[in-house]
Amino acid sequence: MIGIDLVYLPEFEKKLKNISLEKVFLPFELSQNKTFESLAGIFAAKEAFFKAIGKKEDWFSVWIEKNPSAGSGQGKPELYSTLIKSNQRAEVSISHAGDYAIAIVILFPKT
Amino acid sequence: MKTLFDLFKSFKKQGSEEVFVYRTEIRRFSFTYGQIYDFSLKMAAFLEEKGIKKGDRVALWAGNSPWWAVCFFGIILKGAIVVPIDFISGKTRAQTIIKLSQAKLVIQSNYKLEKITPSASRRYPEGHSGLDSVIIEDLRFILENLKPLSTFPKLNPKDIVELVYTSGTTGDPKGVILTHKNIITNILQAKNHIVIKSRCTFLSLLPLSHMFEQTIGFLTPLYRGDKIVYLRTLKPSAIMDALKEENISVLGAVPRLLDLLKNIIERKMEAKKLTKVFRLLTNLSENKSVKFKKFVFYPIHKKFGKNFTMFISGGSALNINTAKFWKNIGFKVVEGYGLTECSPILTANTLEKQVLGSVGKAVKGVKIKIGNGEILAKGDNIFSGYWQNEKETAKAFDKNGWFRTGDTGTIDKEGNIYIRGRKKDVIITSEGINVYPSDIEEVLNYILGVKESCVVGLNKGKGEEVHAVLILKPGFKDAGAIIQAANQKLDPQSQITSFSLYPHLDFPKTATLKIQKYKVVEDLKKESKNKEFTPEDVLISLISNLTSKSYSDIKEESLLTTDLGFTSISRLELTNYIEQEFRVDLDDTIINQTTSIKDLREIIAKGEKSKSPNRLKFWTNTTYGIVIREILDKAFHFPFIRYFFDLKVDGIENFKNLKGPVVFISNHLSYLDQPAIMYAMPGKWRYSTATAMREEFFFEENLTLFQRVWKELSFAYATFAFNSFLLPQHSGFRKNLFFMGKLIDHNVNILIFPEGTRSREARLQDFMPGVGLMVKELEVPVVPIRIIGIENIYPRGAKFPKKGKCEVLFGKSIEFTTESPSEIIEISRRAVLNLR
Repeated sequence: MIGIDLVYLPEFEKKLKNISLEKVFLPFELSQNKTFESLAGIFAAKEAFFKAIGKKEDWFSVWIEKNPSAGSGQGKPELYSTLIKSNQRAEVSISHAGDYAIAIVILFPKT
Repeated sequence: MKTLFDLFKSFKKQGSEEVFVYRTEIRRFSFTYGQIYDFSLKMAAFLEEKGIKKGDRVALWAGNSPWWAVCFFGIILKGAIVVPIDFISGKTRAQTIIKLSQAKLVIQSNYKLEKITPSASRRYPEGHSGLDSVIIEDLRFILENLKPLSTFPKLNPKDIVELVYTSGTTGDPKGVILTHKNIITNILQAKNHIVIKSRCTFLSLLPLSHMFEQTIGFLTPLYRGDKIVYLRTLKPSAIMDALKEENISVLGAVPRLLDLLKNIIERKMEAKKLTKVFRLLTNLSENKSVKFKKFVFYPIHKKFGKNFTMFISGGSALNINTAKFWKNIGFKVVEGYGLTECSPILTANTLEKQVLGSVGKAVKGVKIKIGNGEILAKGDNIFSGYWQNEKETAKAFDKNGWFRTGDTGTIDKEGNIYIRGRKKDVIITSEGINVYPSDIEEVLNYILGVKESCVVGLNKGKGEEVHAVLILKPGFKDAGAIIQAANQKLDPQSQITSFSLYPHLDFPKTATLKIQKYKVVEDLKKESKNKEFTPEDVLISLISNLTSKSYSDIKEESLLTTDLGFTSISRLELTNYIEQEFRVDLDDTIINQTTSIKDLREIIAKGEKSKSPNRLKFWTNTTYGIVIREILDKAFHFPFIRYFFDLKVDGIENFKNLKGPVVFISNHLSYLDQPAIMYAMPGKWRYSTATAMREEFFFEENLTLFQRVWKELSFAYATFAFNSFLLPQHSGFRKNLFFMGKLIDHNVNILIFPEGTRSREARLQDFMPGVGLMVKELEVPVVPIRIIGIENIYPRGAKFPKKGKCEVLFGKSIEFTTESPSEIIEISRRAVLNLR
């Protein structure tokens, strides 16, 4: 299963600036990501995840970690969720260019 | 007490007394005077490290929290100058203030999307190397490793404490210079004017960047040794919860907040179809005693808690009808008057006597007189000038040194002061008559259907014209009739001659919710150019605003996502607006692909929060629940365990110095793990621990009726016999996180089996990621547990247990700080494995 989401940064900045950020982001995500570009990427990843699982649940049930120590490369984002079945795993990729942030999430059967 | 340093020193003596409570949505954190004392000294040390010297400016752009207090006192201890910036302000305003004050450091927050980038550039005149920045939420980790500052610059009462930039109903920010003497004078004036005998609990909702909240809700309570409660999010439900659970005695409020609370009460009455009864009762009890009112309106008083004493109202003029509303239902609203320039209080009513419509008498040490209709004041609490702004400073005082408040008013024989309005707001009509917009707004706001009004003078060539701008309540359209009704109540000289409907949902406001009239006038000018606006319904105009679709395209059956093109971001914006506009909390999932406008209306009408049933119950952690468990354990569970188990317990000494609450993390081999672990724990811990269980174990989909009944029954038994609660695996996590936060706040430990399912072959499986998140956000230590041998007593798939040997091992507790959820999992998993 696969999900994708594209975020237009000016819209994201304009609209989220008046919304309390804890509606979407966990406190630890806010402390790991200080710029709005990086938060926009996380937002896209969460949306993409909901598309991949085919339903919308609350924003706290999926989160992105950027652990320098987490195996594959420097600070590669990893997606975690309380909604992923134990026989599944999720991969995420986030990219930024100009005014856009984009994220793709794929769910694989665990091998 | 001469300086705020003296106030600060008093914190040490109060040591273990609770001073702040900080309610995030997840947890409730408590701080003592002693802790704030220590943190502030460390903050001063941090500022020293950053090269902040006496007289340097430090901008503080963050929401109310105990950490705001730590920053405030840290800056003062270093002799530097606090420049508070309203947290709701945007980046542009924050940057303007930083530039005007030449701040060297800005303290900002993770909870603001926009941040100011530190720079080393030479943007400032000589002597300024640039702007440094720190995030207020990071301070707790940064300060931990610092040594408290021990030498301080000498402070003089004439030294500057802060530069408070006026929020500006007119535009250009001016930095009000306030000294130790100004502020200390006002603290003492406040304390002696509104005398409260016992120790109080304040709920602080207004921004600390504003002097009203700083003096009334922060410095005076600290001087008195009171307790202050802060909320991270100011949602209506969070406010009501705090009132109920924290035994609040005083709430500092701007009139707009009192209006909002009034609306919540009236809406509740409407929903219960009690509006008429409520009106009748209010009229009936109008001249009765407070005791009588408290009896009649008990259900309302109950919501404010048993200690609630009063609202202190300031910031702008209180509408007389709002004041009457609260008085009639038995609440005290003590209104005062002041300005940032006066630190801020000039006059106030008292707890004993409130004169309706008056802002009370001058506080001791303040002299007030009326000159040319304008209120003039003198006193030690009044500032000496604006920061680097001689022109404005000169304008602020008359030739005899009286401070011009810019407000017009009168004084009665007893010395009570009545405010008429802002001098510069006065409309001078073509007949040369002075009309006070606030008088007209008061009449308008009381007419049925008006949500809010704003009266301005529009000059169309022949002197000013009284123009009313209206925002109507949902369902009301006929503005003409409203204006007519208002004019019937107004003097012939102050009739409204023209009106318009405001094309937005709310007027532009300052941090203390005053309408920024200059912006409204700007909008009116813009609006007159492209005229086509006639909002019929709040919801429709809201949706039209968010999607830029025209009204005719928005039908009752339109689906939000497919027909109206709501994106994920605008959907978020929509729920946010609905929450503010209709004062209901909404779940993230409430709007989905199949939601139509009609559905949305129903959701709002019901005030519905979410669709799924709530199975999280707290009562099993009360004494009542504990007694039931003790009885069941002694009569049934323990004999059972003793019969089947040859149990060995290891690591019990780890409980000796253990400080709860904690999260116990154990491997999972059998359904009997939980009872065995509970049996192995010391009694004190056993009965203050709740166990997380998989929701899907009890409530799978597609069960037969018999299976469902069986599962419901076993769930009910697990709830009260084992104090278990559910963790979802296929639905949202937020409400569970909040529930676990509540458990932890009540000193209830949580036992969790992070493998999710019982492991085959007794090998430790991967942990569910939610466990790491939960430990991270609950900010609690982990105690690892390992259970061995139980798989032989009651293995997976077995019908009946058989006798056997079993071991329960308890490890040492592990504390976490900046680790990420997955690191927490890794460390905890290793700790479980390493037991033995």
